[in-house]
Amino acid sequence: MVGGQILSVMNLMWVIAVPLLAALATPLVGRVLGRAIGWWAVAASLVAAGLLVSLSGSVHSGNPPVWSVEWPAPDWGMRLALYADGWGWGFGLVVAGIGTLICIYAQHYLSDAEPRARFFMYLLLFESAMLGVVLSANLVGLVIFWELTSATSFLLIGFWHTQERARYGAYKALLITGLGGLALVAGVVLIYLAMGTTDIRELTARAGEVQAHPWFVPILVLVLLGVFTKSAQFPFHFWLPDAMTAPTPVSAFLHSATMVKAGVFLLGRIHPIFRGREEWFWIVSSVGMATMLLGAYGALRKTDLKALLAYSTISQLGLITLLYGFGTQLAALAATFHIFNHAAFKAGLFLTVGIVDHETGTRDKRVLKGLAKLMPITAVLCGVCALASAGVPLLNGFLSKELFYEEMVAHTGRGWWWWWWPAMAVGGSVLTFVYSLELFHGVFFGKLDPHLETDHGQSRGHGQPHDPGWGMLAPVAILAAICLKVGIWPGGIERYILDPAVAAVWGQPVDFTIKLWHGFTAPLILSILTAITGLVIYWQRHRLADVQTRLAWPFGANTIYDAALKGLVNGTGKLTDALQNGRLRSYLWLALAPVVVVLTLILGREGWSRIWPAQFSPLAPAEAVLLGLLIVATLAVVAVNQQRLTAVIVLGAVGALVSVFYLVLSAPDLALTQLLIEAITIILFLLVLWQLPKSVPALSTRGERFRDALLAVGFGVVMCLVVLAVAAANVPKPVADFYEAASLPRGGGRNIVNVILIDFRGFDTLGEITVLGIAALGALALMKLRRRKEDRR
Amino acid sequence: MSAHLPILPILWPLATALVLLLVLRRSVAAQRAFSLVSLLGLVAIEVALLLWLSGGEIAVYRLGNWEAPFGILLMADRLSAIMLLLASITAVATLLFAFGDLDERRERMHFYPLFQFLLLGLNGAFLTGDIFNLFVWYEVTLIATYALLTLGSEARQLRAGLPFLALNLTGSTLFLAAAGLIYGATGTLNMAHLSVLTAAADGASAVVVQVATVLLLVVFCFKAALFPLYFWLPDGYPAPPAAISAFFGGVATKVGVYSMMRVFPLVFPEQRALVGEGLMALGAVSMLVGVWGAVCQTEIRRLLSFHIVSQIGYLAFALGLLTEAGVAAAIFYMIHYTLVKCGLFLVAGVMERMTGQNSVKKIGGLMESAPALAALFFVAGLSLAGLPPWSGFFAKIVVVVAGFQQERYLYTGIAVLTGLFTLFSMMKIWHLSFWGEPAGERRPVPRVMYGAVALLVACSVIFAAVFQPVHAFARQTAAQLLAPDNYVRAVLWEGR
Amino acid sequence: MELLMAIAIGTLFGAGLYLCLRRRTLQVVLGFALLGHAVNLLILNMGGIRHGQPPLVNPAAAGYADPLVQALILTAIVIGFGVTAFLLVLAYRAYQETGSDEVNSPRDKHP
Repeated sequence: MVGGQILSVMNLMWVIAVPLLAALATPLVGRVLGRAIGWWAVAASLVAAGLLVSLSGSVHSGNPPVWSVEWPAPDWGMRLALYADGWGWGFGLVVAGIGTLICIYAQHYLSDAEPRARFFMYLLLFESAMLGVVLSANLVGLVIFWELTSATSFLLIGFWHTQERARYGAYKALLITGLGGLALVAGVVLIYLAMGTTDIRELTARAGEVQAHPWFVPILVLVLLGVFTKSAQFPFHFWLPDAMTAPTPVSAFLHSATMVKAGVFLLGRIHPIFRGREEWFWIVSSVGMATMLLGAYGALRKTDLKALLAYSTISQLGLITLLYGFGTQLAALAATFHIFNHAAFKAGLFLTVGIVDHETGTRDKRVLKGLAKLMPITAVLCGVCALASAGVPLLNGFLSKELFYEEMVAHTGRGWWWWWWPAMAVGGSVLTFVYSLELFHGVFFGKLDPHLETDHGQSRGHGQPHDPGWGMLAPVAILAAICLKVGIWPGGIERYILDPAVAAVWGQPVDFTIKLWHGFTAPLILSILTAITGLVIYWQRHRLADVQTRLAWPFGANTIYDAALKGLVNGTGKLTDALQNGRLRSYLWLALAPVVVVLTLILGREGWSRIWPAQFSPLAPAEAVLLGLLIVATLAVVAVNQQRLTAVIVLGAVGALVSVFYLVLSAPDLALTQLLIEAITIILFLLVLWQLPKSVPALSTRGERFRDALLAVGFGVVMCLVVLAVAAANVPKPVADFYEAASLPRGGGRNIVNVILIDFRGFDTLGEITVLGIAALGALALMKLRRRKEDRR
Repeated sequence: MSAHLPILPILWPLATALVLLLVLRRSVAAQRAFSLVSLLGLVAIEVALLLWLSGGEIAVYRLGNWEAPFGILLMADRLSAIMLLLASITAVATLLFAFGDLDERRERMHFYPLFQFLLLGLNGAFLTGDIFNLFVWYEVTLIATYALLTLGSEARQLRAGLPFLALNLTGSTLFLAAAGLIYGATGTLNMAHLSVLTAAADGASAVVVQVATVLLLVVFCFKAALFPLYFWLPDGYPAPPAAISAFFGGVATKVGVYSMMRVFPLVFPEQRALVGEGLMALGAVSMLVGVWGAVCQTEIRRLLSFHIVSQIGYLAFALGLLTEAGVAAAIFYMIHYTLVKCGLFLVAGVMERMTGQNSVKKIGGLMESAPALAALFFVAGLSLAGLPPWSGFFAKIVVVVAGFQQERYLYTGIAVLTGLFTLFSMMKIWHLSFWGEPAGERRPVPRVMYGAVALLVACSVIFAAVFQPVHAFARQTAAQLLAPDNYVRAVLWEGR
Repeated sequence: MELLMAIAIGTLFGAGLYLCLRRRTLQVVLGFALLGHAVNLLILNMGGIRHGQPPLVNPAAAGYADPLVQALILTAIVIGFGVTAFLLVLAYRAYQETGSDEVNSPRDKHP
């Protein structure tokens, strides 16, 4: 038993590792397998699914296996931990299962010209990340896998990267889900700081504490931002339709069982921690409701079948979100059930649309009609999935829709205005009914467009459209079969997947049975109402289209997104051009003006008296003259700065005065050095000046010069005050005293300055000489390396 | 031997540079080989130093054996060891890249000795325990930077060189003034001694200490390229060849950050509030202004240069918290981003070499012709943007944790949001240059250049894998830095 | 004495900065030369003002001018010279190659 437990724990790890390793090996394996590489991916997905099935025993016994690794930061309680409770396990099974079908389909769907190995590598990487999301037992691990799904789906959506639309769609998906990912990271950090753990099971056990924490609302909002962006909830829904630029198998995978479902998966994951709070209900349910209606309404406006499916996905996700917001047992059941049902029928529908596209070369619903004649099997399969989506009895969609209605109606006792919820639910479902019929009846019945009957050259199939080979049909058939099976005999699947999943989402085991017939109840009446209204609207759909055209809203989320990106690039461009304008003057202003202000504040804060020296040393007349001359000469350099030769000569005078001053202030070494260096510097100046224009007009305006002078004066005054403050401080200098005392006995020199330079602080001198050496090397390189003559022309 | 270990990272590159200049000047091949071998030797020395100091010892090396605070001394601790090793590892990658990237004119014009001199300056700055000596090593670093920046004398290099020099020279002037003021206000230059004296300063000398603190903050922000003192960087860094700008981008600005970590907690223990608030505010603005600058660029290395400002903003913010968690976050972030940023610059170098273009708009479809480069960029780019499972994600997490811990919601929020802009600009490169129809030429790229990139990207992956031990070490380093008493004891009382 | 000295130092700082804010290379170099003098005098001032007490060991001396600041200034003068010389060469070469003696950077206009 213990051995079996360990084995199953390792299996948990392999569920993620197998697709991951398979993905990493794909480039190599691809060289061997060639175009058969798809089967490698099929095998990997199948193994992952099989491993999950092998875990079913422990999942059903309520004793979920846990695997954890001491990474990334066990000291912080941040572990990469995996566990297979009912929710994660069931979801993982759907991911791996549908993943397998998608790989089979894609193997037949992709043309030979496409880089197959790369495609399946991306797909397996994504699948591995998604399995990681659903199996994570720790929010840190979940976030890591979560972001990986964003990154890998970016590659998948942009697979046909030479198309501008594909790049646009991928970029958009990454930015929007990336935004949510960041919010989620921030939320998880707050959870960690608030609770000291990121372990989901522990958090579930301490749900009360989480809800009572003062950070509860920020945490909720941040985590929900992650959920809503990922699951394309209003107002972040707009990335999803653009993600349809991906190859169809990718869309089928991303938008039925994975990517967007990661959001609602997380909603189910945190459901037992957050449910019950008013904020949870209002935010989650309102957003869900808005998304459901908006998606369904939007689906009807689309002529591209994939776009239609995209909006229908948005709508269905809205429905699920809405349900989770209610936070009741029934709602949790309905939402969880619907997630599984939606995965099956939506994957089927995407794959069907892929077949139609593959065979006819178009996805325009205005052109596609009467295809049942040409592709009867596809028509039947599409019918099953579409009717399941519409919520027709004997199919899985009906059952979850009934539960949905039941939950909506259950709250009407609280007051008449609570009828709002069932009313909107019916509204959304009617629209769903209509677009599902469009997908099935619209495409496969009616008069066949004669263009479609012949090969029109656009088709990627050969000749007349026909049912594709088994490789593309079988995955759809399996999905359709599941829709039927669940719709008619829900029992088996209920016990196998749904029971444990709902128990996990609710937080404790839930007692229920899903029945096809449970009497002539309110939900059934609403279902009938939905079907009748839906049929009427479908019949009159051209009128609906007219209404929609009239109501067309020119200002969508996409417009805002595009404008925001454009504004970002333009606005930052302007800002950057203004700041990084290439002018030294502007750079120095921005750098030094704040310094002058801050220093003035510091000096002035405690009154000027504090920095004023108590007494000054006497001023000899000669020194006064010397300093006066120095000031005059300095100002003269400024005054004549445009007559450059004169300016350089006056600068020499300043240097000479400084040297004399050093001599007066008991620094003979300094005076000598200064004089020497000054002489060389002036010679260098003159050499350079010889090459430059002698006298030049000022490049700055009078106003600029005035402002510069203001800053310069401010800087000068501040430095002047600082010097006075040091004089006021007049601290003892024990280090200097030491040098004076130790110079002769320990340093062996009478010239204390020299002893400091070569002994006490000889290390400075080493650096100083190095600077000179490097300057010489650099100057040499500057002089020697020139553009070659031929370049210059 | 181990007693002399702290001075070796300074003597080693100095000796190497002299050998390159005096003995091997005629043969480029010999210069290459000797530089690389010497650098690997340096790495080995620094690994030994790191192992020695990882226990928490503060090694004090008294030059000329003069007792503190009278002589200059070197002070090596965990942080110095980390910085030294980080600089050398980056240098190894850069050097390898330079073998393939640099033209022979530059190699002959003393690139290799200049590179060693730059390392010498950096290592000196990482080790010294004396504030004026720090200035000297800054100058060695800067003059080597100037020489490398303009090496080759292309018009763009020369034009970029002037403001670059002028601004850094302003910084140097302020540094010198600050060092002078510190001496005037306290009578010492030894950092540990200062720790005692600045805390005790009162009256006018307390005011001067504050002025010096502000000036040093400005100087280090200049060097680290924080708003509004970063303008020299985006104009200057893209000008020289990629190998040189990669090393600048990876390491050169870090000496400013290092100095902040070293000087503020130790030398000005009483000025925490002033320094902390200043760093956090400047950091927050830098994060945004830097990344906004990157968002609108099309020239790859210029885009990356603006990112430096933004990343330094992260560092300054985390450091400004002045808590153990904050400083540790800054250290971890610095390790991560030095390697990744250098790697990205090198990727840009490969792209330029391959296509002959430096604008993302003129390059396209590299994914098909250079899938390995695409993979390296994808990893490094997402790592810089803070996406898992690479080092950038953990670096971001530790910063955010530290920020929220101190309830700095606004600044932490800015840090989080900056990640989105970073992602935007990184994927802009991806979307325009790696995806799309092929554009630009396709020239062969020496293998060694790929190897250099791979080395750095691998480091990013490894640092994610060993996040906990590295972060724990960063945490110990932070704890050490924030306890100035240990330095005072080691320098002034022990070994007398 | 200290007051006039401080004013002189302040003037040097102010004048140096003003010249650095000009747009031609030579003015900027002149500015840095003045700033160099300013900061050296500032450091000298840190040691206090002494007349006729050069730091040469002499048993008869009543005291010495602070030798440390003088050593620092010597180091600073030499380093400053190295940098100034490099800057001058760069200014000259930049003028040769670009035909302009303005201090400005190449700019990458965003699209």
